[in-house]
Order: sequence, then C-alpha cells, then structure tokens
Amino acid sequence: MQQWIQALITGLLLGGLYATLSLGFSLTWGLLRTINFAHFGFALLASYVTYELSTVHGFDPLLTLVATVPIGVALSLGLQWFVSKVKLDMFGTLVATFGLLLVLEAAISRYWLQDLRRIPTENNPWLSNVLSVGPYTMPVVQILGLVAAVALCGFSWWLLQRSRAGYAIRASVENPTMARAFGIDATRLGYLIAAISGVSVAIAGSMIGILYALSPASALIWVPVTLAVVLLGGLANPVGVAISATALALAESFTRQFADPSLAQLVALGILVIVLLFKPSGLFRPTVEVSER
Amino acid sequence: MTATQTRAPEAPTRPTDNAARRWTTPGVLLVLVIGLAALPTLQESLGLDAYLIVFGYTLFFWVTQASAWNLFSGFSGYLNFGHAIFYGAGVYVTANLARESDPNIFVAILGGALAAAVVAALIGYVIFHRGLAHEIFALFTFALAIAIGVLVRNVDAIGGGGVLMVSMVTYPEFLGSVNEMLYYLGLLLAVVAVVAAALVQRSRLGLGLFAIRDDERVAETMGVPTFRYKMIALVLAAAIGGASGALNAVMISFIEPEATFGIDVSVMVVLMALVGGRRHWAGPVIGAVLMFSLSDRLTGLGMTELSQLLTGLLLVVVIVGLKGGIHERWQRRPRAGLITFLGVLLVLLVTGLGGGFIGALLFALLAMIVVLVVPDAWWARLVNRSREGQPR
Repeated sequence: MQQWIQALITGLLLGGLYATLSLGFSLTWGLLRTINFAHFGFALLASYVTYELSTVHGFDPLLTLVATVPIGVALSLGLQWFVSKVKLDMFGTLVATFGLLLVLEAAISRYWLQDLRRIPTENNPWLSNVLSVGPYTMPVVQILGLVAAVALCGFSWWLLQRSRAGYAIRASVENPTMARAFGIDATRLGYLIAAISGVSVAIAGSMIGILYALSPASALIWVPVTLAVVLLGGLANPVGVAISATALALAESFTRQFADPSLAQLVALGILVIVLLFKPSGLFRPTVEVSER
Repeated sequence: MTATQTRAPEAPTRPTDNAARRWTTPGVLLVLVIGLAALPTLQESLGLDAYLIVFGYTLFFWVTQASAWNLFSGFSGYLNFGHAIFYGAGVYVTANLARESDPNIFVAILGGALAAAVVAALIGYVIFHRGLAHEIFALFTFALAIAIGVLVRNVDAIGGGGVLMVSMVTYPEFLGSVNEMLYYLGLLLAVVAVVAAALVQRSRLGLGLFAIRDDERVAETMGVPTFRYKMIALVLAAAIGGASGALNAVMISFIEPEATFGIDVSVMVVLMALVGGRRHWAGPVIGAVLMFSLSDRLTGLGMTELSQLLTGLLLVVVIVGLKGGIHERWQRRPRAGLITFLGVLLVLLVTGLGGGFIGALLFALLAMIVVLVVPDAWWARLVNRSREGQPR
C-alpha cells in the first residue's frame, strides 16, 4: 500500500514536468501551425544555462529562471518571426525546426562537450530538499514544478477560453481570412502564444537541469513522451495536456515501481499506439478544429 | 483564351526520337554501373587509393537508403523521420544470426529485408488504417525509433545486453576480400533500390502515390486505393532499407542500439532526399552523393560537430529556399550543370588540386550546384549577355 501511494506521488510530480514541457509544443502546433522540434533544443539550452550558472557562478538553481525564461521567450519569438517571414507550411516548419534542433545540439556539444553534466550536490540544495509526510517523500522543487505546471496550464486555458484575446486567437486559426476582415491582428496574437510557449519550455528546461544529468543527445529522450502527451491531450488543449501528462506519468511511475524499470520509458509511446489504434483523434478535443486536410 | 483553343491538344509524337530518348538514361546508368563494378579489379593498376573501395561501399549504402526512403516518403509526401527503424531491423537480423555462427550474407540480407517489411507493415497499419495526418506519421516514426532503441538496449534477446559483434560472414569466394564483397553487394543493392524507385515512379503505384502527395482526399475520391498503395510502398521501402542494413552490419561490426536507431540514419536520408529532390528517383541519388562526400571530407578533417551544424543549417536552407531540390534545378539547365560538373572534375583530377578523387568529386558537385541554383532571372541575363551579337 505504501509503495502504491509513493508511486502515485512520484507520478503526479513527474506529470507536472511533462505538462510544462508539452504545453508549449502543443500550443504552437495547434494555434501557430508550427511543429517545433527545436522546442527540445530550447529546453536543452535552458537546462545547460541552469547548469552553467549554478555550477560555475554559484547561483541558486531556481534563481537561474531569471535568465532562462527570457532566453526561452527570445528564442520562441525569434522562431515565430522566422516562420511567419518565410511563410513555411506546417510540414516545412517540422523540417526547418529539426534543422534548428541539430544546430543547437551541435553548438551545445561544442561549448559544453559531450560528457554527462550534472549540477554538483553542494550547488544544488533542491535535490536533497525533500518534504516528508509520514513515510512519503516529495522533492520540494518538484512540488514547485507542479504548481508552475498547474499555473501555466490554467492560465493558458483561461486565456484561450475566457479572454477576448483567446476568442481572437481561436477565430484567426479557424478562419484566418474572416478574422482579418474583423480586424484581428493575428501576428501579435501569434507572438503572445509563442511567448507563453517560451516561458513554459524554459521552466521545463531548468527543472530538467536541476533534476537530471545532461548530455547534448539527451534532448531527444523527451520526444516520445511529449508526442504522446500532445496527441492524447488534443492540440492546444491545456486541460488535455495537463490530464494526459499526469496519466502518462502515473503509468510510467507504476511501471517503474512494479514492473521492469528499464521499460518505463516505453510506456507513454505504448499507450499512444493503443489509443491511435482505437481512437485516432486522441482523448481530448483540440482547442480549434481546423477543417483543412 | 483563343490561343489555347487553337493550339493542338498534343504535340505530334516522334517515335524514333522518343525511343532514343527512352534508352539514353538506362544506357548511361548501365555503363556507369559496369564501370563501378570493374573498379575493384582495376583499382591497383589505375593507382587509386584503396580507401576508394570503402568510400564506394558507404556511398552505395547511402544511395540505397536514401532511394528506399524516397520511394515511400518522397513520392507519397508522408515524411518518415524514423527510417532507422527499418535500417536497424536489418542490422539486428545479421547481428543476431552472428551470435551462433558466421551467417551467410545472403541469408542475412533476405532476413533483414523480411524483418523490416514486417515492422513496416505493423507501423503502417497503426497509422494508415484510420488515415492519420502526415505530420503525425512523421512525429510518430521519429519517436518510435527512439523508443525502439531503448527497447533493444533493455531486451537481451534482441540487443544482447548492449553490444553485439559481427566478426565474420560467409560468402562465395569469387567476391574477394570482405571490403570487396561489401562493395559488390552494396552496388547490387543500390542498383536494386534505384531501379525499384524508377519503376515505381513510372507505375500505377507511383502515380497513385503522387496523387496522395498532392491531395489525399481528392485521390481517394478519384478511386486511388490510398491505404493499399501506402502500405505497399512503405513495406517495399522498408525491405530495401532492411536488406541494406543487414549488409551494413558487417561494415560496422560493433553493434549498439543507440548508434543504430539514433537520428544519424533517419535524418541523413531525409536530408539527402530533400537536397536532391523528392519528386524523382534521381533526386536522392544526387543528394546522397553530395551529402556523403561532404560529410566524409568533414569527418576526415575531424570536424564532426561542424558536420552536424552544417546538416542542420542545410535542412533549414533547403526547406526554405530549394523546395524542389537540386534535381528540379537540374531539369531547368541540365547541359550547364553537366558541363560544369565534368569540367571541374576533369580539371581538378588532372591538376591534382582538390586532394584526390573524393575531394575533386565534392568540389565538382559544389560547383555544379552553384551553377544550378543561380536564380532564373540572373541566369537569363548572364546567358543573354554572352550571346549578344548572335542572330536570334
């Protein structure tokens, strides 16, 4: 019983990280029609910046968010500017951002080399800072991460479903010509979405830097689970992202606890395959149903 | 309006011209293949570097993989970002056969093709049976390649607990040394892949795939059996990729899941086809020759990171500025391209600049590309200026 509850807690906390990482990917795909592979490069860069600032300059790892969030936003806005300038279709964005991911990875492995990097324990108080409730333990930084995930998903939901900007965004995705005729400035709203995506990817990247060891190739480890979260959760559906991230993280956590831990990484993709077989549209509706193709 | 109405519906056909034209390309290719097949026997007497045999094999390997990828993904528009799954299936067939005793290379190649075809049929069924969008296919195959790498790493029955060795294979004696055997069989598979792609392109299947790429809904309405065509093409592409992977296991001999299912193969074939052009069987061949000689030179100079950086930048540049690939540009001015290529190659080989045959090949290709990608407007001005004074 105790094991079950501990696995539940671990899974919930992991779900926070998955949701934060997947939210930006889902929003840009669903609303900006950009499949952003470079997302994983942005996260990797943020985690390396967290590593660098806390290891070399001795900053508190959480404080490095002050640097990583602007970097994430700047990269995200820059990409959105580029994509809208050269007028790529969704397919083109997938290839181009993949190229960008390779460039980021090469640059990172040039600067930080190929070795595994990890913030040393004396510089990383958050790794040992654990909240104990009875027999159960939960790392404080992951609780904060979960709070951030809930805040980001909640804010995105409010923005898209309840605010005037949200109405405008949804309208301009559903019917760009008509929305423009009504005076909606889709470009500015696009930058807003890109900025939210940048904030969330930076937070996720810093969390990864605090919690895990880093290597330039490790960006790709996150691709299967992110894809599963995004496709199950419905494109640009923040609530769907939160729920499916939690569900997949729980499944992974239970697999790690009660079955073969080495196969836990495969659980998310396995669930995605099963869902694709029986319900290809995913478990949640996308925020905007685009009729073309 | 009147002009189009008065024009004859079809240009009059000239049978002799057509027949000659139809056999030009196969003829040139046949001569090329015979020349390449004779290279190992002539290599010493011509005084060529022995590395050329290894280079040749690896080049054939990439031509095979890129053509196989393009046969499905380029023609149908369903971008496969996990071609390494099929390649890796072949690699691991040889690796597992080699656990017991030295396998026969032909058995390994057939086994590799079969294994990859089965995997492709499963993946194709999951994605295509409900008609999922092609972006999902791209992401799904990419994620699946990563996941299969993890799976193979952890399942000892397939991955042997991390590393498998392929030390030796059996093959008929007349194929010579291991490197020569690889060269001949690599050439054979490359010919199979290119011919298969060319035949598919001209067949009903190819037309159906092009229709799917242009607009799948319209194709479906017009009676193209989209599901069946996609499955056939994917399985065929996978079988060729798997066969070539099974052969390549002998080349790499030290087989690891991460290197096999990693992004190297998956991304390289996409890039080769994009650079060369996806709408024609010749596209991936051009792309493979160019990209492989480039990365071979860069790796030779010890600049692996620069090679990755260039790969990434090229992906961006090609998708933004060269959507049809080099082959499409080639079709606009074939003569200028060919003359530049052969001229630069000849000059570099005779003068010995460019550092050996591979360097000369690379520089000749780059010069050709420069000539080909000059925008049409500038090109017209250049050509007109040189022709000034001539009667029109």
